[in-house]
Amino acid sequence: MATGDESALGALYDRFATTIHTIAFYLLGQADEAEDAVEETFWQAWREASRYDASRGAVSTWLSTIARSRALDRQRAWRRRAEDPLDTTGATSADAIDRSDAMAPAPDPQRNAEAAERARDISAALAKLPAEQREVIVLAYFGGLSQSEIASRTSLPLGTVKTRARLALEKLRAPLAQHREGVQ
Amino acid sequence: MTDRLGHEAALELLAMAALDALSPSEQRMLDAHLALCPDCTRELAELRDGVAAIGATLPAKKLAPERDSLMRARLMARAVADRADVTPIRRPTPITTPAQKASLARRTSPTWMWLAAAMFVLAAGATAYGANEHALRKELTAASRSADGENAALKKRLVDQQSMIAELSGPGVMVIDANSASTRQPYARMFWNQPMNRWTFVAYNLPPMSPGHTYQLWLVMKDKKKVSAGMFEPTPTGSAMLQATYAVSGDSLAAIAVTAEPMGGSAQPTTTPLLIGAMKAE
Repeated sequence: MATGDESALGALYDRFATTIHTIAFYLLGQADEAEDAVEETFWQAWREASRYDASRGAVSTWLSTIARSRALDRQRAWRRRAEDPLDTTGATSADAIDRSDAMAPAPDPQRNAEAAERARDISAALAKLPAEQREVIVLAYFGGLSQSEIASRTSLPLGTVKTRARLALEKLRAPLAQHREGVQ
Repeated sequence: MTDRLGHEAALELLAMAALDALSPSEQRMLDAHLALCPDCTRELAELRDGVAAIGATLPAKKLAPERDSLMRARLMARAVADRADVTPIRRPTPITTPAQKASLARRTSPTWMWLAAAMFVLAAGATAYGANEHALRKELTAASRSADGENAALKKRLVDQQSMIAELSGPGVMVIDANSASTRQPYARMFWNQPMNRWTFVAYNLPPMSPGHTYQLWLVMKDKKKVSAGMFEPTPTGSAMLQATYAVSGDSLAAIAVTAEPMGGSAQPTTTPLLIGAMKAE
């Protein structure tokens, strides 16, 4: 792909489109937004293929990182709007997850049900993590919050937030290596 | 680049860096350290594997097949255009009078100019009449969001159109006409972009379909095999368009055909074709 072979882009798309769409969908919760993020991801991969360094990670990790960044850009844009005191219409998927976790009523029953389903899927996917580590990962990965924002929201010391994130990622890393070997 | 962070402090930040959860200043300091520390660079890559694991363990959400093939075709078309470094066709600049130029400038001002003008007018109004600032800002926010949405929709439309142009105008495109002898004279044309395996079918004057039925497009192979290329409903004026991605070797296609089939489509044609178009011999 780095040499400008568009068939390589097609092959990359065929192999990873579902993975990338899954990430975008769970981060954004809206089909149209998720599709746009998928297209942006593969387009960025095409344009920046020469910067990919295989010694620094698998293609799947590289693409997943791009996908999450593109989805978080969209999510953070929503949050900026939501934080605008003049704007009361914005909402992030993290807000939706929070709402479903807290069993608080949401304005749209269908969206609330979808958010609750996503939250259940996320909880199941992270079931191997202790609850306190899962909370940090959900807020960072799905909510797009910074470490300071997580510390503030959870009332935990910043050092504790960092430690929980590291422990969680170390737990998650081992099965991924096996999964990737299986795929490759 | 100076490393002001130090190794121990950098190690503490790596997990949050992998999660893209550092502030811009924290990220800058870490980047400065990473440039000099292969151990932390390696550790960060491993932690990113942990982040990627989250996506891999979520229940898979597939794109809808139609959206999937359209997005793939669009990306491929963009990549072909990008690789070829295609310069957009420019219209010749017409000779205009100063008055016409001013009028043209007014008509072609980009959205931001209108927004800027709107903001100026609104701001002037607020000063002059002491309008409620809260309401004014709300109005501006709504105008800005509306313009963002319009811009995004236009960009998407442009990409769709570029994609279709690339599909219809590629060097390997073949055209198959399909005609009918009926009085209303339905007519169809298929553009087959063989290098991209993309099919764009357009039809006109199609009679309305009876309830519970749908039109189905077929690729008829030389070995008599018939492959469904999709179903479609005509508009009230009888026109229809269908796009599909399907690989067919150049010499194996004999014709295209359109039949009326029960809703949901058939595995093989069950009625006499309304339209048939044979491949032209080269």
